Amino acid sequence: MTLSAQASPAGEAAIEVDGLVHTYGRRRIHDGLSFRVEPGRILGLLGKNGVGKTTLIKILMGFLTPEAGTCRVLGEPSDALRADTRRRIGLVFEGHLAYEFMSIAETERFFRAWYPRWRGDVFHDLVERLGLSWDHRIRHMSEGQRSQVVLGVVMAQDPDLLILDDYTMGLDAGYRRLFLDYLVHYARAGNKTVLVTSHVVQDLERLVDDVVFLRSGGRVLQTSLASFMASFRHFRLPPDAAAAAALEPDDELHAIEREADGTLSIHAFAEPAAVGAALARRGVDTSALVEHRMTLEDAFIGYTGKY
Amino acid sequence: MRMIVYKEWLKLRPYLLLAVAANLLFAVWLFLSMRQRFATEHAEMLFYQANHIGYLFYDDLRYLPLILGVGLAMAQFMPEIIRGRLRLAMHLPIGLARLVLGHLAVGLATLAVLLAMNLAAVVWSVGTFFPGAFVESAVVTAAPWLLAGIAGYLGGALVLLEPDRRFQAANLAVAAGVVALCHLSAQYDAYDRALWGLAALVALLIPATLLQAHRFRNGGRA
Repeated sequence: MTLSAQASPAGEAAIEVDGLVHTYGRRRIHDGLSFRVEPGRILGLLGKNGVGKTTLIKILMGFLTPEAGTCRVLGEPSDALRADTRRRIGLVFEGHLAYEFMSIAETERFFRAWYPRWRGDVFHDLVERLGLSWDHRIRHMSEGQRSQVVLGVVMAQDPDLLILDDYTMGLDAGYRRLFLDYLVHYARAGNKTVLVTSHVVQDLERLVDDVVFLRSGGRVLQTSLASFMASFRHFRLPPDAAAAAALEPDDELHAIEREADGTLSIHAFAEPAAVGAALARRGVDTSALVEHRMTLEDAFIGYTGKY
Repeated sequence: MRMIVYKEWLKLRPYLLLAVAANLLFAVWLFLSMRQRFATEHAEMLFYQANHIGYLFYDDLRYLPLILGVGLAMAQFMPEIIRGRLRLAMHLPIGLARLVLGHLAVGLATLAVLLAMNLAAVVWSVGTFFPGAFVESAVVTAAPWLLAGIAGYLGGALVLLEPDRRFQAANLAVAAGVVALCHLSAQYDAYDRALWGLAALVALLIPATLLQAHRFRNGGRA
């Protein structure tokens, strides 16, 4: 499958957020948030509930206007995108929004009229796997079946940029895998830029190049997935190693938590030797310090905390 | 714009079918009830009631356009606001004003068909049993009721598109006020001098709906 993305001016980011501020009443959701998504990259937007992922997605999709700062999508302000630019952006809304009163055939007829680069073959390939007749109504589909139609519609638009808001919602493991496999292949083959959020963090490990971690208080970390997974480490100490020690996280030790069985869990952006030294300075016996391999989900929880 | 019409047709056809069937039943019922009156009472008495007492033989029509208008607004905009589905259309490569006006144009054209059926029912029934002057008077008397139907449709859109409950209540009050103005009096020719002003007031709900769509897109912010 060869798909061509429309070239962006040299050096122009697909998404550029700079100093974004957004509040709900007195609650400041974003306070100077900045990050970039380069063309052709797949970025996962990660964060616990309430840190402003949905707000950010709404701003990027043009459904909220930033209170301050700039948010540019394909070179234009996200809240004032020209029609031609919107044509180059594919959106998958939370819950796989679709027109429930349409059949599959009517859905294709409606959407293809808006997109000159419509890829009928892509839509048909995805939808025919469902084994449903073309006059099957969307309202009579399961969540998984609807997600396939929605993905088919968005991919057939042949957009340069895809924004997916929690595509996993309501999908069982099989449909999640199907959705992900198609998305990965499509994005890599077509050099598409993708921004994705998901509650199933482990899925993103197979998909994303870069991650942006949003944390409460507007703290943000943007890094490549490979760099994050290589530099962020998890260590454990048995319960008796630091029973009495009052340990607080700092610049050296990103997070320190006591697990249910008393084991001390430490996350840090540091080599084992440096972590051992930092713990020793706090009077902890590090002879039983063990590093544990992490999945992205482990690392996400280690970085953002359980609570 | 052609595809907006296509989408709205797919969405509205079950409602349209139901509304057309209801209108046909109403037309037949109105005709038969008037025929029944003329069959059981002296024609002079009925003419006296219509001409001197001001009895409206087609009074049952009064709230039907309003029901049709509000029903149409619900059928057209409820599927769009449930789970914020209107965002699908708002991302289409078309300007927001054209998008909203396209939706309203389809809705108003559909309503025009339904209201024309109502008017035809009155003209048919009254014209069959009364002279032409009565028909003309009936049309003028029923006109504010038809405007109430349009106000009900536009007011329904105004209320449904508003994401904030407080503003929604305010919009409901405005829409109800405009509808109430259309139903202030059911006397013959009561709106003779106010009909165009009332129509202009109802038409003002169109730009208000545009503003509402803008607020919907911005999550309730102006």
